[in-house]
Amino acid sequence: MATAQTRTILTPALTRQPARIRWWEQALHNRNLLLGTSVLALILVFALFAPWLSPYDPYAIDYARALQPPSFRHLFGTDLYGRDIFTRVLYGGRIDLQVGLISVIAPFVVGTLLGALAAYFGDRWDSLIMRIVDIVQAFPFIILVIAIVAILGPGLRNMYLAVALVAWVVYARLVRGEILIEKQKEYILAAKALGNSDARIILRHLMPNVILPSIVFATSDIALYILLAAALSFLGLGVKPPVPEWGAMITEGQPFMTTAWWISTLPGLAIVLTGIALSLIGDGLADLFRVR
Amino acid sequence: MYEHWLRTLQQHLAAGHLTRRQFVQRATALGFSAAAISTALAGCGGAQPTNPTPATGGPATPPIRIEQNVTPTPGAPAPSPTPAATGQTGGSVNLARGTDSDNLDPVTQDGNVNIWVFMNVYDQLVTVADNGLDLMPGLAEKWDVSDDGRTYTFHLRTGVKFYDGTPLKASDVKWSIERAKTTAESIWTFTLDQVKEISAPDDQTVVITLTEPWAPFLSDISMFNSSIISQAFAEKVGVEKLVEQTMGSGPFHVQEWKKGESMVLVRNPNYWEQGLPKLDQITLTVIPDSNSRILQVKGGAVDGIIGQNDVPFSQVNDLKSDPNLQVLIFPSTWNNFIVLNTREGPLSDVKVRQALNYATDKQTLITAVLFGIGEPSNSFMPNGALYWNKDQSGYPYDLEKAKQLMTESSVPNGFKLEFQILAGNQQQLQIATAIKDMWGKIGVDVDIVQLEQGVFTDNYRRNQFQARLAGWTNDIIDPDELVSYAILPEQTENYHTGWVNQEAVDLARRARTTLDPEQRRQLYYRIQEIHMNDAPFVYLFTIPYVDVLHKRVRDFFHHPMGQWVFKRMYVTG
Repeated sequence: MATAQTRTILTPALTRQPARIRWWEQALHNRNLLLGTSVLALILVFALFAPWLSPYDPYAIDYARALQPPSFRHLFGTDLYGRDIFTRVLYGGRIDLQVGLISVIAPFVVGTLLGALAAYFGDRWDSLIMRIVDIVQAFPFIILVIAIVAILGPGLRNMYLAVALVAWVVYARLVRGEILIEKQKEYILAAKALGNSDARIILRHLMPNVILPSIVFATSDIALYILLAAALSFLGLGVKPPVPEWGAMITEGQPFMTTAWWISTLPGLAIVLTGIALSLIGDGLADLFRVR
Repeated sequence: MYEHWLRTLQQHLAAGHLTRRQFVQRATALGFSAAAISTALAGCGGAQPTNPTPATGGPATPPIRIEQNVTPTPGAPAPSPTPAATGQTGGSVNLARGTDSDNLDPVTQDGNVNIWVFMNVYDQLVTVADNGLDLMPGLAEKWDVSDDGRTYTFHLRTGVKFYDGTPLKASDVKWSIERAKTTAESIWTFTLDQVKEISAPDDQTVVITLTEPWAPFLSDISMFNSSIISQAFAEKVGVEKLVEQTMGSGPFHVQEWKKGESMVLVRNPNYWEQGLPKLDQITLTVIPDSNSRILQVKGGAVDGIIGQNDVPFSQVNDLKSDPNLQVLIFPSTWNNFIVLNTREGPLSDVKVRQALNYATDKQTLITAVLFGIGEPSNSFMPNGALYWNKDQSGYPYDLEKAKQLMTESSVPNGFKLEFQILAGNQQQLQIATAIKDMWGKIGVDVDIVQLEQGVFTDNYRRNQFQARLAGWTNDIIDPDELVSYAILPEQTENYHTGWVNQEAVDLARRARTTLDPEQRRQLYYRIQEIHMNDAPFVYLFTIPYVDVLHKRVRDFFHHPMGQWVFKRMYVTG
């Protein structure tokens, strides 16, 4: 009896099944992950359904209503031009979340591929790529991005480009470190022995085993890029006015900090909330996958 | 008496800044005989608007608005140096400003952050009165003009000494003005182009001969670059040291300057005006962030905020409600406008440019962006300036007319317009955002481009822009300076607009050598009309100077020409 039971548990079908349930169960029991995801989902819903949630146009100027404090009619008050700040925060969510997501894709892809190349082929590839990484990392991240945007000119497209040029190094290092360990393992040697191409080994066999830390990192990176977009807008290098973007809105309210706090503070809260949500998700994912 | 005073008064009468009654009062105060006055009045013709004014004779310029119950700042006095009799002597004040000076040499510097300080350190031969319209004796007690208008003989005040106690001599004047005329690094030498020769026959007399009769000459010589510096001091320390060390005969002396932090001015015990200056010491502290400036003045860490735009207008109402503070609003010549590049594209069409002017709601801009502090402008000349035509129609807000002009234009369906602004400048951003909305209503799609300072300025110099904000202030009371910038292509290609009108050019050249005030007025009125009709600018507004001071600080004055006047300032309690 006892042996029979043990045998059934050891059958492949059954060993896999409980593992998958644990994954989901863990996710559901991971408070950070749950909280982060629900807050982010809420922000996303607000941003996506902005036109239905607010009766106002984010661009409509009405000087008669300028600088009104938060009220029932204008939940977050109005700005210098009489635009409804709540509406602008909702529409701003579209811009900022989009900026965060798009910004993270290019450095993630480029960095992962270059890191994999460096680690997998080693030698000259490794030296070349890692020296470039060293050079880029020698500069403070924000300063370098600002410098590149200043040269290319303001605007979101140039910001994506600047971020891609600078931020890929982090992902390259992450993936390189993982692959250096992983490529020594037997399954890779086996894959090589079986005559798989290098590309297939990297993409099919190495990637699934090394990509998780990068994904976790990318999650919290999104928050960084939203802040970066805000910082660039603050410096006049981000979105073009009058596009509602949280950082730009904070800048607009800055001269009114002591007289009309709501102009800067409430968009600022939106950034903080999004940042926290993304960090919680990152932490949660790290817990879940036991990433260091 | 000095013929010149009467002539200046005549100019103001002709320009409508003075009523006939004020004219008579002032001329009498100056000691002109009744016969001379009536001749002068007759010379002006009778076409002047005679506003009913109180018999006391009010100031000719828009009065200073003082937004608290304080002793009024001295208004426009009759053109004569009047030592203030009130106020105690001694004490010190600490005033905040947003930007530090960078060069205190009157000749090589190029910014208000410098001029406004050293005008308290150096004197000029001729001074501009507090109303910003009259000239009055400075270091020169009086002057004679030859009949052909080419030779000016200045008689210096006796007993004037520099801060170090050495007497100011005619040779210092000759040296200073020659240096102002010939220093290659100076951007102001053009103001002395007509000076042919300067001589000092004795210690108290300076004779300046001109290449041609030059109407703006006395105005030019009153400008900051013709400040009188001690020649002995400059030669001792080397002229290049004048950038950070001063030696003038003015009411104050720069004792200490920690760059980027603070500058300490101390009283000049040798100052020639009786009983002035009042204060022993003035500290100018640099606080770059506007919110910190406000907090510090409210908390009493500094005694006030002075500067150009250093008090954010958004805070003015809040500051006014503070029982310890007074908000002072002084008339200025700071005219703001949008410069249009008329070289190509839709902006080469005058109808489009006029439409943009009509579509700009200046009053709304003033209310929303300037919080009501400002006046709509109708000319390239600042409101209140000499020969400014206050009755010119300008471009009142008229959306229908703007739309109609657009349909008659080369771009009836509208066009996309790039509007360059300075990144990080909130006021420019606010104006541009409002303009985008206003011009959007006539089909002009404004694309706001924020540029970093270097690129922003460089684009302008190379004429690489479609539209951008700009402004200017008068450095001299004579309109010739701004007219040169706006009308004559050789200086800045008409403020980078590329617009040239031959009739206006001819008139501007003629006005310089015309000495008769009434004729000059007519010429300048016509020039303003041409500029308005051709619309290379979109006129916006004149912004006054706003300063905040603690109530214990009295008699600070912000001169219409821009500089701070510290000499009468005193503290109570």
